[in-house]
Amino acid sequence: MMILSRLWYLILAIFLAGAYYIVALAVGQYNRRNQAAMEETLKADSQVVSWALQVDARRRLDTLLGPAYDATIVKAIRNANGKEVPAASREDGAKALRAFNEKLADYKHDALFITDRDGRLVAQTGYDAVNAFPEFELGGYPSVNDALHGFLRDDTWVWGGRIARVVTRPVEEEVGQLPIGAVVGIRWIDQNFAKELAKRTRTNLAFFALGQRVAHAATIDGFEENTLEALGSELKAVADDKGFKENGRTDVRPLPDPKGESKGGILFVRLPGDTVDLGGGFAVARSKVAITSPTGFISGADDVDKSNVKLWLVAVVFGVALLFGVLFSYLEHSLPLKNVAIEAAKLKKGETDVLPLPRFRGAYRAIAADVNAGIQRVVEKGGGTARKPADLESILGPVPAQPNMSAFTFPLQDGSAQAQQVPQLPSNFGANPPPHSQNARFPGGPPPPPASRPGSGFADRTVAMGAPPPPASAQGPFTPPGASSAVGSHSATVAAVPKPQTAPAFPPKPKPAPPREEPPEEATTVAQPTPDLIAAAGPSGDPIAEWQGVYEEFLKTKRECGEATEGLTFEKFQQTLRKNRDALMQRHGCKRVKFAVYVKEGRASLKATPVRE
Amino acid sequence: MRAKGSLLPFSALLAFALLTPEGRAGPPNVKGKISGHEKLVPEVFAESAKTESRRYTWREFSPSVPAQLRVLSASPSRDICIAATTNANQEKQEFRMTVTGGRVYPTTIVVTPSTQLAFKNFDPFKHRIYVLNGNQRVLNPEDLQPNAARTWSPQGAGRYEVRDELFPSVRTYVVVDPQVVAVTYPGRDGAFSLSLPGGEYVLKAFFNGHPVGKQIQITARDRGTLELKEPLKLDEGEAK
Repeated sequence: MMILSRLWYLILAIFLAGAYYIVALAVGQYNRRNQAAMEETLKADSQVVSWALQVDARRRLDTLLGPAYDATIVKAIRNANGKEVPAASREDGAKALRAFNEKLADYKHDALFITDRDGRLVAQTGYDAVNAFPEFELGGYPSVNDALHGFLRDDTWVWGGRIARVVTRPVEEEVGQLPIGAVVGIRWIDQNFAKELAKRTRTNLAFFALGQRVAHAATIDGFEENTLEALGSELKAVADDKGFKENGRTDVRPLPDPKGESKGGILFVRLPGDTVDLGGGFAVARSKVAITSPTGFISGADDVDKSNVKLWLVAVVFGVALLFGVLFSYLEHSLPLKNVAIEAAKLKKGETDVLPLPRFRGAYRAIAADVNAGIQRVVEKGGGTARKPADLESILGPVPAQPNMSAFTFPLQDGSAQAQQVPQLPSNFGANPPPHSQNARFPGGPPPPPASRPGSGFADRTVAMGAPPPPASAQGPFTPPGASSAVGSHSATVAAVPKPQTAPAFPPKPKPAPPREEPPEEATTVAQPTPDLIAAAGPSGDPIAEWQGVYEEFLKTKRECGEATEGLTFEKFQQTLRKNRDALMQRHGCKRVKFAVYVKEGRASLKATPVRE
Repeated sequence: MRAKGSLLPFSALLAFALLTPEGRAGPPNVKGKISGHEKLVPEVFAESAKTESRRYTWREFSPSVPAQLRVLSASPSRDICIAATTNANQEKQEFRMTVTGGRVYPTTIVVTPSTQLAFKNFDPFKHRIYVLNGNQRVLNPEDLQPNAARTWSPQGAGRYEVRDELFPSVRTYVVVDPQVVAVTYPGRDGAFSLSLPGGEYVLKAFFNGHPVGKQIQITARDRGTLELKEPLKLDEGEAK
């Protein structure tokens, strides 16, 4: 049946399905947690960048302390207030601003301006485009207006599509008076600034305003920088984002990808300043490693991941699985097959005439039985004597019908099987020996005539008791079944298997096969009881010890045949044997009866052999 | 109401540039002064100073500037308009509006209907100004390149607001009054002057597009200068 092998396949299948299920769950959990981790990281990134911008503004504000109290600058502004800005003020102011800016090691300004108290430009450095616009001024910007009224603050402007981080500070000449002007520092948010800030904050960063990306930089390995270049469509959606408008930041959004597959997240944050109304802000982005399928764990693994795998454990699992698989297939396939081969070899050499069924199990036993049947059939066709169980009925006469019962059925505890009555011999049993009793000496020969039946002249008989025969037909109590060719022989194997009464299993042959001598092991002989057997007999004359052995073998065979043994106690067993023994002894006048267990059509049966002194 | 947005050639703008906000040449025959203007704060600056406006991360005062001076008061020369009106409707005029420095100034102007306003950009980058009458756009935004000008004439009486798509701090008001004769802007000290034909006028002050303070009646003479004894108090009531 290969139960272990199939059970192993079941275990392997369950293990494989379970492994897939677990890996699929792991994929989902990994992606979910990776997404959550990425979102948290992005929020942290946005905070870090905001802090970095604040620190940058603070430092730049502090740097303006120098020009705010620079005498040259103060003088230039004083001379410009209330009148046309003198050229000297422009030149001296610009020179002072350049000198100051060059001294800065960090936080250099891209452009510096000084204005008079009305916000008119007095001097500048770093933004020469205004030289062509003498009426250019800065007083309308709230941050400059704040500076002109005694405040220092930062701001963000957008000039010609360029974002500028702005710091302003008042220029004071006298304590307790309104500032005479203001100094304004500008740092353009360009690629250099983005790279510098991204490097400082370890982020992937993009700045945008007016629905356009202005600058971007990526510093994290594995992040494709060109992904940030495709923010155009996303920025339009950001402008309408409720969180962005109300709280200054969006939720984490899928990272736009030219291929349409989001490979990360992006979070938009508003920049403080005038850019609030211009849709200005910055975005931080990160990619995520999503596992799209269970095999993604393999394709996404790098050398470090692979080196962390405990290969010895993989080898152990592989070896154990292989070992059990081979072991079970050997035990349940190779070994029985080898046994079949051995027995077949014996059969070929002539050491045995049939395959010994008890040595086979499961399907091999059925195959062996079929082979044996085939051998018998071939022997029969060749005119030889086939080994067949004798027809108990042909020997013992009609046996009362007991449907669904084997030669010996035993009362079970649940009453599912009633104790079988010992078949009663007909009254004329043994009175008339069959006229063709000589022919019945050879099994496989022509079936005897219906009237033939075993008589008292038989030297001995082996009686196999399978299922009880059906009731005697109208043809008479000794109507021979098809397999009753052995009836009448000197030594016969008799089976009490019910057979059809109307048609013989083997048609009669024109000529009976010539008698031949049976091999010693095939002959049914009345053996002398051994001394130990006689000694084993109980006080009532029952060979208890022998029957005990038969009982145990019978139970074993029934289990092998898959039959139920519940309720089959030894008491019932020996009671049945005793009745059969008594009947046979009465019928044959023998001293004792020997019982043997065999398998008949996949069921355990008993053979009874009368033994004469 | 007709929106007009054509760009004028620079030569035509020179003619506009010659026009002062007073709208009339000649020596001034009315002189006066305003008071209380330091209490007027342009709304755009007031809004920007609020924390919730998210316009800054750092904003702190200079300790050397007294608190009473740290008021974001209006600039009289750009934010406070003094208008002289009569009982008769006046002719249309022409004015130049300067676009630079995050604003369009003067930030409040009173004009007669159909007066042509020329917005000239003095920034080295473009603007996109537009005009609102209430919530309705009467002039759609268009690119205003550096050194370019764009004209617009208000057609009916009312209050118009000039905005800029690219510069949120731009908030200029055009008040259309058919009886306005001339407008002027005080200096930092609050003094102002007007050149008016002889006759009776009402002086009104405007700020953020609204009249502020008390209006006064004056009689201008062709010869001689009228000096107002009392300043125009902008912090007391509102002109009717």
